[in-house]
Amino acid sequence: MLPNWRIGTKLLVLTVPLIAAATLLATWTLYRLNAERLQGMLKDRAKSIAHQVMADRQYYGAAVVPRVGELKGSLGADYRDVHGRFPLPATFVREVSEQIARSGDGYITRLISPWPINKEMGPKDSFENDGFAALAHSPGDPFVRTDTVDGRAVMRVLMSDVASSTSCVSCHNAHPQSPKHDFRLYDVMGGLEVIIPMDQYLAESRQEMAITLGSGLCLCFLVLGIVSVGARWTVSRPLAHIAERMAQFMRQQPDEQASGQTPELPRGDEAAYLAQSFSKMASVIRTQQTALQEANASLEQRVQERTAELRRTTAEKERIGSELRIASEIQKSILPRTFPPFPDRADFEIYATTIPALEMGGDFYDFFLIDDTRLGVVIADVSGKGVPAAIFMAVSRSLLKATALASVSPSACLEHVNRLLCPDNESAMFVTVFYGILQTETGELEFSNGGHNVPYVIGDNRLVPVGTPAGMALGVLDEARYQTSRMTIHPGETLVLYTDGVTEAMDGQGRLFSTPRFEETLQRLSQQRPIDLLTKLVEDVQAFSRGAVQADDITLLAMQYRQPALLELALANRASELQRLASNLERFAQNHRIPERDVHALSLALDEVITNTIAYGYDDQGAHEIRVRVTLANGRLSAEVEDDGRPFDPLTAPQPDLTSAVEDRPVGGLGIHLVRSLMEHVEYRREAGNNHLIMSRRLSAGAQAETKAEHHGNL
Amino acid sequence: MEISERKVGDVCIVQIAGRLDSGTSDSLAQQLHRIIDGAERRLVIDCEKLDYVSSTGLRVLLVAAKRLKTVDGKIALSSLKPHILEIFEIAGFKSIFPIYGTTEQASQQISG
Repeated sequence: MLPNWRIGTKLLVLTVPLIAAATLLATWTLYRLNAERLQGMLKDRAKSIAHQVMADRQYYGAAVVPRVGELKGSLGADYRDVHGRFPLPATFVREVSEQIARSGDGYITRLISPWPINKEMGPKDSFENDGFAALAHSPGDPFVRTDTVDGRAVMRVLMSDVASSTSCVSCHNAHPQSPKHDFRLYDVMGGLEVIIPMDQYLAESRQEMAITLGSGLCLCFLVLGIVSVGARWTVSRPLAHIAERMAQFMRQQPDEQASGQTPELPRGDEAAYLAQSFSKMASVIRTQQTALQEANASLEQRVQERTAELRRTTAEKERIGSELRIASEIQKSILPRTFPPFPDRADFEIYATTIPALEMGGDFYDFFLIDDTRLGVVIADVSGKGVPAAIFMAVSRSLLKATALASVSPSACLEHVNRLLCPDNESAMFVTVFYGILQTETGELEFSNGGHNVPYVIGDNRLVPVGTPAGMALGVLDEARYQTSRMTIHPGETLVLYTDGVTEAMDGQGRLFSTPRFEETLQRLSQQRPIDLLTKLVEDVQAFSRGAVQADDITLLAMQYRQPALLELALANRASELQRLASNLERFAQNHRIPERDVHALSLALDEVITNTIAYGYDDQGAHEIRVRVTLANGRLSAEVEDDGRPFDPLTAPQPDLTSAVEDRPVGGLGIHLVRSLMEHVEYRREAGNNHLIMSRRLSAGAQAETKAEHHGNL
Repeated sequence: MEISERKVGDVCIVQIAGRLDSGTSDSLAQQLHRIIDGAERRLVIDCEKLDYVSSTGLRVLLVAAKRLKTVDGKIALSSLKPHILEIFEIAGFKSIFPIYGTTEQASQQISG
């Protein structure tokens, strides 16, 4: 591995030897090519010199030598000293060579032979010996070799010298100093050697090589510079930037482990530093991821635990909720909920409603007939809410009703119930109770108040509190005493019992519905029938507290007292009195909601009976009184007619003829027939000198069913 | 009680409104006698506004029917309220008086 250098440095270290080696290789190759080219060139030059010299000799041999005989001359090497002598061709060559040597190019040409006539012209060194050996094999190929002569590098070429004419052959064969005498035409007789000095060329070549090398190295350093700078710009700096950011990231780690590993800013190899940082960061991230996974797993586990817990709780809640709903239904079913509760009673009308704040309420109302003429009404509010209140309520309600039905006065009833509630009341609950008994015949109300809101009687022109706030709530004090008070409710007036959930109903801003608003509402609705009165009242309260949570149970009971279901009239024995009877009957029917069909039947029956009495009942012409008493009780409409006329039992009248033709049909007897047909029950008595005719009919069932349905619909 | 009469073709339509009882029957009796005396032979008693009828009223109608019978006249009732119809049924008058839902029906039936 390389030491911790910067990337640029590393690139340099790696590339420098490479480029240097490449340069050297290129230079050497160039040099080699150059040398080959030089050798080739020098070889060619040597060959051409040799050819030139040989051509000269050829020419001399062919053009000059034959003329020697004509001139009576001779040939010899000593031509300078002997008159008439001409140079031998070999001498000619030697002379030319000397001329060439003198040209100053350093070129040397030499004619040499293994069989020299002149001993100086024999081979002298290994090149020449080797050359003749090679030429002996292939006389056409010049023998070439570089060599060193007198310390100079030279190119040496030896070309074969072939016997080109018979004169050459004969001359040599005949020459006394020739070592060989059997030459034939075209035999190799010797060779021409050319020596060309190379050192000058080699020096040039070396210089070239040096220049090449130098420029190659320059190029190399230029490239290295560019690489170095480029690396810095394109690699080092971005890497350093990344490293910087990474260092920043590491410094920001809250982890001790991470902050302890904050790397120094880069000094050496950025990539290595980066790799190191990466590895550190990876380790940090791995640690964090592990921690995160652990946290995740623990979180998941907790979520699962919480979910399971929530599911259990929800299931439990649902179970409790469902039980509460059932309990709530049971509680509601404890209270009388069928309206009208006493459909046979026309002398009062009752409606009651309770809206618990929670599933289970602590309020309750109750009403019951103690006997035919006494109606008990109760409203109560148990302290607290929810299940405990509901249980206490159920107990209180049962005790109250049981006690009340034993026909005791209201105060006695409260005292009795109080004594029963106190001893076992460990949870210190209490109940406020208003209990009243209405005498249905007179409208008199007996009542006792055990700490409850004072009810109201509302009528045409009045709104009267029923008693004053008095008495202690039940269940508090064993020996508590209660008062019975009395007041009269007039026909058409309504007794309204309520709990404080009504007056203390709150709106969104925490304001109370309040007693004044309650009284105002009651007065406005005083002419309404109980069901309408309470329905509208509840609507008002709910409209008032819209948007707010119902804080307390809302319970209301309204009892409208009607005119007693009794109509008593004393009529004079005049036909005009029948009109008075009719109008009275009509009003009576309206007051007691008697179906039209029934009131018509009774009206007609009374008409027939009284008309009959007025017309035929008296022996004299004097004034008589006919008393009529109409009652409505237990779904029966009854009437009694009493007169002091002569005894007459209409039931003895014969059944009239209802079938014969018009001309035969008797015109009388229909009246009594109508009475007997329209009334279910007709009875005659003669008592104390008076006629009593008693008749009754059950109210039409259809009309009553209709009324009932209407009430149910409103519940 | 109020009584009004009108003529449609040969039919005399008598409308009775209100109560027909012992106090009011006499005036109806007189009016019917006058109508029959006036040679009306086709009578429709329009009971649409009749609220009440007692045996006295029934008797007046029966007497009128008897008179018309003797002179070949005809009488019919129309538009009875249910409780009035019940009285007519109880009295056995349905076999004497044809009863129609509307005055027009009654007139058509007894006309000619």
